[in-house]
Amino acid sequence: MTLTISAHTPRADTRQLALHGRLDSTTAPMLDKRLDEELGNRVQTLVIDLAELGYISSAGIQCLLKARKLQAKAGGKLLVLNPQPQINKVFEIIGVIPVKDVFASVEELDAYLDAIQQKVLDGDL
Amino acid sequence: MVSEPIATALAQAQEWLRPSLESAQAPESLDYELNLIVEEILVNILTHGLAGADNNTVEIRRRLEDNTLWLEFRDCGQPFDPLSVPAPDLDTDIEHRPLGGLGIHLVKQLADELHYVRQNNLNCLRIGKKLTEPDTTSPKTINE
Repeated sequence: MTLTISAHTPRADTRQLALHGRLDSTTAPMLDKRLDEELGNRVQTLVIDLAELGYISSAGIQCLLKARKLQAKAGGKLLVLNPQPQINKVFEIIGVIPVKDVFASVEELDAYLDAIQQKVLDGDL
Repeated sequence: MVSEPIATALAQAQEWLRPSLESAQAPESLDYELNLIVEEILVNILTHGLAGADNNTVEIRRRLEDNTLWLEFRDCGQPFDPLSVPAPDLDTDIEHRPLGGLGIHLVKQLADELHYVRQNNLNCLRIGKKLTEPDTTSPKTINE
């Protein structure tokens, strides 16, 4: 099995990449390249949707960590959506992504992004 | 990140592992963790221990004993004891943590048993993984 990446822009300032398949030593370079391109466009919030990702290894995790570092440096965010339980376990072992940045459903993520948007409108951010 | 022969070796090793997972009726989460262990160890050996070596063969053996699947990796690369690798500093803020060293750490966390010996100029790493879910109160026995 390989990796496929599909992207969309669910709302202004938010770019969402959905990963399907396997993120391993073989496929990680493909994601790495794609993330470089996406981050080159300066997006405020990058959401990585893992609902259809069945496998991740340290090579894939390093891609995500690198993107997270770059986003933090640029003042943006990297959020993770819907990781499968076995992948979430590995995330927890490594402490890859802070728990507050992992969302178990689209509704949860939307509520979070709505709240941020509201803060921006209110001038709190 | 990995060269073509490594990708091929990885695919071969995971394909080879599949029948033992099927015959042991390993639950899906264990299937994932065992494939992950094989990838981390194999890629580590091929990209570090055996980089530039004349003989870059890695021999992997598997054995099902009671409820534990044992995997043994042998290679003739530089002596390397993965157990000697210090754990990454997970308390460091994620943004400031150095990348790398994660694969071995994952294997240490996921394996139930890890034994390393240097024998006849070979690195021999034995990894044991129990095939029951860790949270079950009454351990299942596997019928073969």
